Amino acid sequence: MIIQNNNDCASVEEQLSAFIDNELEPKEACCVETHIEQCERCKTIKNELIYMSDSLKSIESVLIPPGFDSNLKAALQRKKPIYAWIWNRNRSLGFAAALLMIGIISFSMIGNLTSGNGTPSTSSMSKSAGAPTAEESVQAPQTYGTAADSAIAADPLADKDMQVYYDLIAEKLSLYQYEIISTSLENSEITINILTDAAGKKIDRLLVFSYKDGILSIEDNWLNIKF
Amino acid sequence: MLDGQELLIKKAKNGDVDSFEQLINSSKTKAYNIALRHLSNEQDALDALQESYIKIFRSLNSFREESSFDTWVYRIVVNTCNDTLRKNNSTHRTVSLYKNDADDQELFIEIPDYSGSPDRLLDKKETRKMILKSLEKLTPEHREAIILRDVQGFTYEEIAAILQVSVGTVKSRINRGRLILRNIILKEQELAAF
Repeated sequence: MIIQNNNDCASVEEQLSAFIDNELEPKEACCVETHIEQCERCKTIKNELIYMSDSLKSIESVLIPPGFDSNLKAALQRKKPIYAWIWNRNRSLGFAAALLMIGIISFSMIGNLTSGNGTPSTSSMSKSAGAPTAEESVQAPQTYGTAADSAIAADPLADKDMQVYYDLIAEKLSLYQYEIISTSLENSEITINILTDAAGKKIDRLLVFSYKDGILSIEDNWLNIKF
Repeated sequence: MLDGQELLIKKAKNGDVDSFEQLINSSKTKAYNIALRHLSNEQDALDALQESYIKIFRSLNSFREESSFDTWVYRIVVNTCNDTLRKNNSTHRTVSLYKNDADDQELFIEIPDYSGSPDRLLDKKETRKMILKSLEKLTPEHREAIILRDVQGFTYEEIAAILQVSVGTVKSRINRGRLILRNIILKEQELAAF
């Protein structure tokens, strides 16, 4: 009769899946194999795990139901990131748009002064550009967005239009490499992972942005310091 | 990465929907099956898949091409499925059998062993169906690891890249997940016998 060592069994049990999947080093695999040959209990568990694994592997792939592609295409067309093209994804276009806006404002002011019928209202017009100015960013580094942003995505939960927030994050983190980990509609939170800083130094830090009514915010001193 | 894929990514970043569709073509069926097995509901899976692709389309600028595009797609699909599960928490109850500490080390609670009659699992014809059903009872972390490994056939390294955890954590989650799954099935069978 073979006396089983409970410690050996526990240790082998921890490695059974890696053993089955050929993910152990040869020496480790050899130890597990030797134990299994002598231990009925571990051998049974191993066989059951193999059976379960094989059963799951034999599940056939399911094809995507017809209609998904056309629905997705329509959704993508609706969600086309035009806003992003102008303000975040093509800085030169954004700059050109800003120059154009200044030109329109200047022309409007000159027109108003020439006609002498009232005071020019440049502030409201510049707000309609739809993106935070550099000045706004400096003055309020932890709150991103403007009244105009609110108009673009007044109710993001209703129409699931999250792009404005992704764009704001892209703008504020333009010097960093990062990726979006998750978006929680329930908590109105976007979790991102900062991968590297501007110098390419690895960071790997999670940040959680909150959003509401077109305004993005974050309670993280680390980000504040970096900005 | 293929030159063709780079070109498609570039075009898609500029809002070209057709290029984006070509880009996701290779990952679509696998992504759908990950969502389907993770959420166990066709409509939820389709919604999660569509939401994932919209996110991907709109976040293409954040794709740094350090991992493969498909890996990035699967990561977002898994995260979106987890968000869906959290939203549907009341109907998808899971019992956590472990917790994570800050160092990504899993602290385990001992799993009861139901292996009194060791051959039972192999004898039952309906076991395969039961395995799928029992998957729903695992925590999302264990479930996603098993789906990616056993249903989708990813390697441990690929799973680590998708889930952004170490290979050691993947090893641990797959093994614990399988052992828990085995015990759930044995317990179900034990209850069914009464």
